[in-house]
Amino acid sequence: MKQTSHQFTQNVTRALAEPTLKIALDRTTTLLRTRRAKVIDAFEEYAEARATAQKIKDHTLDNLGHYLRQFEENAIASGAQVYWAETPQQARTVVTEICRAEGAKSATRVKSMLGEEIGIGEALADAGVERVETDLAEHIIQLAGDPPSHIVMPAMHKTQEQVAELFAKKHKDPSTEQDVTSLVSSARRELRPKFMNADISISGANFLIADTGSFVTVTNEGNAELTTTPPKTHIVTVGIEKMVPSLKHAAVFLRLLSRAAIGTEITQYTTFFNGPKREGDRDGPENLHIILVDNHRSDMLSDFLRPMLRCIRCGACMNHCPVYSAVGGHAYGAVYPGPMGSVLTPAMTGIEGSKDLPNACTLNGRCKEVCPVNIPLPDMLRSLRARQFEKGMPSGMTKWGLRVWAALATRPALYRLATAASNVALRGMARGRGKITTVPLAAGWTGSRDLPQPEPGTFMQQYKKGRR
Amino acid sequence: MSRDALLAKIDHANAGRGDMDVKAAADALIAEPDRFRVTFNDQPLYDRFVEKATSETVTATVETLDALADVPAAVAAYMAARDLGNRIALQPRESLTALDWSAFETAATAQMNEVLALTFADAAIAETGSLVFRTGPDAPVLLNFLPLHHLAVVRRSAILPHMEDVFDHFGTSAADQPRSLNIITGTSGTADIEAKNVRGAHGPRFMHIYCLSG
Amino acid sequence: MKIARDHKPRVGFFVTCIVDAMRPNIGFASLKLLADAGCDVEVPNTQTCCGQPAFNSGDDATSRQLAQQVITAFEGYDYVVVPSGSCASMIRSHYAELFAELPDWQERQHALSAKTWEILSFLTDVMDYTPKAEYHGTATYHDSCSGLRDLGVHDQPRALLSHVDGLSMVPLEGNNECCGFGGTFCVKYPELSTAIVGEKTAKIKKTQADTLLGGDMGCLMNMAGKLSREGSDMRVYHTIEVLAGMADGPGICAPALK
Ligand code: SF4
Repeated sequence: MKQTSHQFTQNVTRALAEPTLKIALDRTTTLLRTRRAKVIDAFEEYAEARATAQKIKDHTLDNLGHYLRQFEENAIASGAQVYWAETPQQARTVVTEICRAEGAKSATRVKSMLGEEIGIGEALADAGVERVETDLAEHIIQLAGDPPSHIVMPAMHKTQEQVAELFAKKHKDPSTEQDVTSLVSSARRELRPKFMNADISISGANFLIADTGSFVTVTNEGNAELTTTPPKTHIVTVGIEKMVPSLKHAAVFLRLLSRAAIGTEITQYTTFFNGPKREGDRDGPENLHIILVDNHRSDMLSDFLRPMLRCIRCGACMNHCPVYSAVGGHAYGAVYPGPMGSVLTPAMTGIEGSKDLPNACTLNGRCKEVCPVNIPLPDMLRSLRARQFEKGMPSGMTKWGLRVWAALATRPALYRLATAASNVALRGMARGRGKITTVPLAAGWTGSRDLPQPEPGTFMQQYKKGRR
Repeated sequence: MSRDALLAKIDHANAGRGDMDVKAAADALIAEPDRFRVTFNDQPLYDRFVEKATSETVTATVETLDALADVPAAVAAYMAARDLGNRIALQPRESLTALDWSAFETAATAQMNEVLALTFADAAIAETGSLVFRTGPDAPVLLNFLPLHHLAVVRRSAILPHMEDVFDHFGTSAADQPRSLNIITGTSGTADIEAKNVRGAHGPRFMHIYCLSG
Repeated sequence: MKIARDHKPRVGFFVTCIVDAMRPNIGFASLKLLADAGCDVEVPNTQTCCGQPAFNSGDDATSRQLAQQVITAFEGYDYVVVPSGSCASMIRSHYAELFAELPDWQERQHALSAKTWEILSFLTDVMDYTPKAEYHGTATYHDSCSGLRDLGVHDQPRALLSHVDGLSMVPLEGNNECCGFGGTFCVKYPELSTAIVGEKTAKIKKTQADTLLGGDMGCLMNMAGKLSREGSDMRVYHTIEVLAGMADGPGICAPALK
């Protein structure tokens, strides 16, 4: 997708002007938050599970080289082919080469954020392969020509009414009713034949299991298995941070992932894949290709962004983010939206093109609180601001304002004079009404909010005069 | 950048961090699983399994049968009650094919719009109400995914407490793994439109479980 | 941690820049309650700001300078008490990040951070204080984020307010959700901030309460400013004003009483 993070504020203006977007976001985030809260409350061992998950990821990252080698060896032994890609471009090249070698005409795809990250759609288009998205939400946005707006529910920005309209226009045999069940049936009729007849299937993986060489997918729709079983070739693109040591370690995360993501105890379909079709098997792909993608993850290992590699892509941080809930995922203008995206986008695509992302956050901490692997998202966003500051990136106004303020705040006596003067000025503007409705240079505040009229004299002035 | 260069970069970033005995360190983290998973000590496995499998979120139905031989009659009753005809896709597994299916038209693979399939689950998980299927020559994948009605047989003795127990039961090494291990919890669902839960997204809309008491 | 009652703790009161400039009443209410709770309170006159605006703008050098100023001014006291969860959390939870490379300062910083308290939790958890006050109205409570999540301030204000005669409390839906203030965020991203505070005020009005209480002047000013612009006559006070019986003047953004 085309990244538009550099025009974040324009994106925000546009998003806020769109009333149906807010309706869609409210309907969805409210439900997801309530469901998550309920299922976490019922999970008495949650705190320990979360702490254990964090420790497992940290341990795996500390020994990542070991585990990657172990995974590779086991995956090859299971009959898979393993590739390494440092960049999205390298990953795309592997995909197009496989498609060309197979003479593939069509590919069915199971949603994965890594696929979006490396631009898998582009790779398939380059190889002249028709791409069929099988996840219902991805199917919706493919028909609409939209990029995803959420990492778990890519069509979160669409209302039911909008989906009904879209299906009526684009499906061969659309349902006449517009309730959600009929819409889902319409998509089922549309997609079924495509599952069965594709040449290639492409998926991501939620986990890689080092000591068995397995990879794991979780879906509620069952589309991962339906998609990847009939075609002759299955391509998996996966980030290197998805590693866990063993099957039993994966179980810890499976308990957390769907609770955090959608508020259920487990997803309906959890599948551990091990290699291609075996002797005597009646179905399954003949070829299995696993592409391990870096894309700056190895850079993140060596700085303060390291904890971000614990992320299991559950989306809880965005579901609970006030900024995300106000404007939705598209405003971020990048593959990964929300709090985790505001950390990942600068890390993967550079801090210059995504200046606003780490700043457009109130640092309220809700994201960290709900994160199932306890990623200190607010601290990392703050550190990214510090990195921006070191590079001299804040704009003139901000820098100048900060400098004047710092010069005063570090000189208490001078600071007293300045606050006393501003007390007089603000009181003048309030003209005794108790509130101030416009303040020069502070339109950002007074455009939508009043400012209180200060008391006569600052605290320090009054205290000095003996008030107690 | 080649594989080796990337691994070297990762090793460099991790200098001084790795464990001497990696496996021991990893195992220590999960040595006491009951501290971080749902426990249900006083509830019998079967009760827990049925409670979860038939819960609002999993939406399966469970029927108890005395013996495997009772399955065909039970399937016939299920189909008759729903007017589903008499064609079934039957997993080509001996324990099932050996039964008397003379009243049915059976097929070993599922068609694109298969109405009903019957498969044998290798295990079940009480914690979540899930069924476990291991693929093999007599257990293809699609039978569990294509039909609108997924009927599954599981032995009561195969109900294990947790997912970890399934791994222990079948083996945790690479060599022990089937091509595909499907853990299925209810039916195909989606919440992709306004987070509203709907069943029968791509796969089965109904799951009916025959639990064999023997 | 409860203190032994055989000596009067010496408390350094950190006013916070925003209370100093906008609502000194919160500061004086704090002094009154701290004295009443049995503390010996002083207000060091070399204090300005805890450094949070610089810290959250990524200006670590200025933040560090201000942190050193705070440490120097307050390290002689038994406790540092602050009428704001976010400033208290800045000193308590975030100062350490600034001194990672200055070992000489680490010990001083650590000692100061450890004895810094947000006032409502200090009165409850350290001083075991029971207020005597009267306020007539129905109030709802917004939990400001830093106090809630960094310092665990949630039950303390409710416990304190339960002793206020004439006051009844009603729950606020989304009481733990950000109000959209976020310090410099509200002026850097006014549209976002406005959208978020708009949702907050809608929920506040839905409670049918006549009073909004909280523990952070920044957030209160944000919500009061929005409520006032929307024409609401909701009374907005810092909890400490109510507890001290000093919520008799106009609320935040309200016109002076005639
Ligand atoms: S950062 Fe945490 S909450 Fe956000 S997607 Fe990743 S794991 Fe989930």
